[in-house]
Amino acid sequence: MTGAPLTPAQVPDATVSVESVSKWFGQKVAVSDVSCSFGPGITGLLGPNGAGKTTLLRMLTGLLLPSEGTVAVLGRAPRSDPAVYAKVGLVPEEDAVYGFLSAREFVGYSARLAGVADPEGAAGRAIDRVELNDAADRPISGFSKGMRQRAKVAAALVHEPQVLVLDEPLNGTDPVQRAHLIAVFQQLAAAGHTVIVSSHVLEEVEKMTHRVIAMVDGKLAAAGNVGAIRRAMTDIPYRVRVDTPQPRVLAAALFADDNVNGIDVAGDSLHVETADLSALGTRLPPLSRRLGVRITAFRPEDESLESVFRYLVGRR
Amino acid sequence: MTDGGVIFDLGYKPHDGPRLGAPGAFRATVKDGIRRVLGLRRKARKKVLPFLLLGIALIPAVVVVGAAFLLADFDPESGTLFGGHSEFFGWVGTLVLIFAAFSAPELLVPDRVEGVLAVYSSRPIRARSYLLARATALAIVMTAYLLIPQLLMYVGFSVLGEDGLLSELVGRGDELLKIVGVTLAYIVAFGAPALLVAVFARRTATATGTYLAVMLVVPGIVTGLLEGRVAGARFAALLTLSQHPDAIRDWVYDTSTPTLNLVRAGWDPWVSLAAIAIVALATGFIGIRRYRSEL
Amino acid sequence: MTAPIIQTTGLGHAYGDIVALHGVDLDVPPGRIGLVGANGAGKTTLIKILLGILDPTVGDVAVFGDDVRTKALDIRSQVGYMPEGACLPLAQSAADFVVYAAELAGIPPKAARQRGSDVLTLVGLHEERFRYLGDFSTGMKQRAKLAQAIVHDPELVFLDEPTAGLDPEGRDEMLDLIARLGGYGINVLVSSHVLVDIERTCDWVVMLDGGEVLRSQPLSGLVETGTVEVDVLGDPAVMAAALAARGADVTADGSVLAVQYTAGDPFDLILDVLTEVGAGMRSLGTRSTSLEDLFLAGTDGGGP
Repeated sequence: MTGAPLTPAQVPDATVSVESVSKWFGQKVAVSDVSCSFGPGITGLLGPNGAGKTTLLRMLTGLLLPSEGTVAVLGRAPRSDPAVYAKVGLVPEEDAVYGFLSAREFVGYSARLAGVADPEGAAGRAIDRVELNDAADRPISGFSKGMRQRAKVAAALVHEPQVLVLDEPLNGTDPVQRAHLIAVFQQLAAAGHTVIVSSHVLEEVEKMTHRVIAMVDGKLAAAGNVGAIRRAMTDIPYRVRVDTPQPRVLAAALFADDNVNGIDVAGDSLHVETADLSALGTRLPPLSRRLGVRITAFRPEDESLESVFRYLVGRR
Repeated sequence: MTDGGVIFDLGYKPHDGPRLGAPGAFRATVKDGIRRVLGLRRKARKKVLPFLLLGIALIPAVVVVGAAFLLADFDPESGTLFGGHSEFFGWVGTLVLIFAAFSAPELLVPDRVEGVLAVYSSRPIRARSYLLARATALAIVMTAYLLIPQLLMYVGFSVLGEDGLLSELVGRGDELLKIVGVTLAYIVAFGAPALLVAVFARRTATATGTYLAVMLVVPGIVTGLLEGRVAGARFAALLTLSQHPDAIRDWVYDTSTPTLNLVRAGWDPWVSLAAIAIVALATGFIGIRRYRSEL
Repeated sequence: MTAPIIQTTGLGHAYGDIVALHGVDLDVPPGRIGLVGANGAGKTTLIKILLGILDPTVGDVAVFGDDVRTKALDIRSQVGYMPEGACLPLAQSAADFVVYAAELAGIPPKAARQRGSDVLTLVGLHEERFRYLGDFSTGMKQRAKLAQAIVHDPELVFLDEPTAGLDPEGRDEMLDLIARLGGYGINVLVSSHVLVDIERTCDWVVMLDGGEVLRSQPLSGLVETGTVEVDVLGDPAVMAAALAARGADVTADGSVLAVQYTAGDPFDLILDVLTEVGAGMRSLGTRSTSLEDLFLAGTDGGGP
């Protein structure tokens, strides 16, 4: 990496870096010229189905070689350097578990594969971490989806990897299991691990992190802090819902404001389009006092990750 | 020229018409079953076997009817390759057995393995009706294989007969009863075990293979046991499921096939009747038990 | 109150020694119902009992007033089911199967063909409907599953994890479709782990935990509180002090102030103080608890 200034797709303390990486399978280009990096903390990897996320993750973990460009994990190329495997843990989307093994056996097996000293002890600790103790000695074939996910996470954690890659880790988990797993990821992130999570449930990703990498059709569509990404969409004005018992009075006054692009009236709610959300939020209280109008809600409608994602995908 | 304009509501429409309930569901399941075994509305290769077998089954019938119209003094019941109704059962029976081997699994295995039973579980049809409907579909098609050629031959023989066509058709009416009775024996004897295997198999190929092994390979083993005069071989003969309908056929037509294991072991034909019935009942009972938790 | 569509009294069910449901009393009104619970809390067992697949061990269960033990077939003629797992025949086309699904529900064949076609358009399956279901993507399969669940114009449809495996766009569209079902006169029962989906589509929630009913009530009553929250653009401390000076009860969490004010209208107060202090707002509104917070607070924590 040269001394060029960092783009928002990159982090200063990168542990995993992707440079101009492309991957094609025959005529199909799965990943197209992607450059980004990941560092300590949680980063969300998002995109519609077929966007290239799983392909990218497989290149990060050394399961696939890029057709072009370089992938570096902790400074080394994952595919050519087996030592990298010891530093990376992968929780794949598919159920890559042997049903007849118990959770403890499966995690122990992963520990041995990774060359961990004292595999039993490490397995015990990993199982403890994901709170699978009660069911640890039962065969995985009898597990619910949520428990299988926890077993997979334990197996990925058993060798204390620096980098943890998770492909849809929360699939099938109930809210309690989900909250718990998210807590595990957050602990790992706080301890300095690099955690990369690919997920479709954007509200969950939002709870875990502010940093995301979004892919659409194999290309990088957006990267960085969610709020900053939204702000960068300057051609899409913000939409905010304003509830008031006197919608028409307020709407008429708002139209006089240069910053307001448009207003939709729906019952007692106004949906206001504005290029400058904070300006509106500052001007509205004094305006409401001047008009003698009561406002019972002021809620931005498209700052969420889900809205941002919708815009990104809609731009295709 | 008119000034008005109208748009039509393309949205959701409720259903105010009749609802046929459980009988409607049953009929639909039978129709679907027939389509499945004949490969209709499915990939082309699924039609190959059923129609090939049908073609082969029709050959003797076509020959007889063709001969009836082409040869003046053709005597059908003697000296032809295919003999009469009784002999026809013998060899088309094998075709029907092969057909059952491939069809019964198609009726039960995919629905179970692909999870489609979950859809049935929200419809007015329960385990008993579902299995009965599938069995009915199999029975209908198997009957068609056996009866259509036989009926064609019946007509052909009637044409070739000494009396006029009409009196031949009516005069030999008891022949029809025999044909129907023996057909019934074959379809139940071959169909029930095929369905029973399909109730448990996880793949259609496994079901087909297991069924063919039981029906085609076991007889040879039992013959060996009988010839070797192994103790208990007499009872093993009862396991030659594929030969019970042959015994019934011989009984009805008053012929005999000494090579049948059942004959060698000295069993009376009514035992075959009982065996066929028992297997059929067991299939129903076991099938319903197995399916009750999903349907 | 209108007649409940689902009514249970003392419902209990056990698989051998394992008790899946216990003492379940429910009176669920028509509308859009969310069913939430940890894995193993009894959701699937409850649905199977309502569909008549399982006979309840003890207790009474009625759907649209019909007893599930005696009128299961009648009930089944009025309900649809979108199962969680695979349920589509891979060697049949979507068009074919949806028509069959209608006939299975007792719709006469000609009407079934028409309805099948209409419903496929409704769920957004166009030319692809003539392809085999085995070749469908997850998103397309979920649509086909929904199609077979509603093709026969049921009174009530059970949706089990309807957005599982869908990407954000697919999930959006599925939730939109579900929200529209109410407009078609179809009651909906959604069982889902994605509580945000329930918040978006349902007006009543049934919460199960360990085989027992934790809650069964309207969603709005559950989530609304009397506190008003304002996310301050500016110095929250100054705002908090000013509000407190006027007699409000203020708690701060970063820039978000939770305000309780009984002496008058909290909104007017907040707007007055914002103007006075010269601060702006990022957001303002009644605080609502998320279904997730409620769920986590209500359960012991930990599914199997």
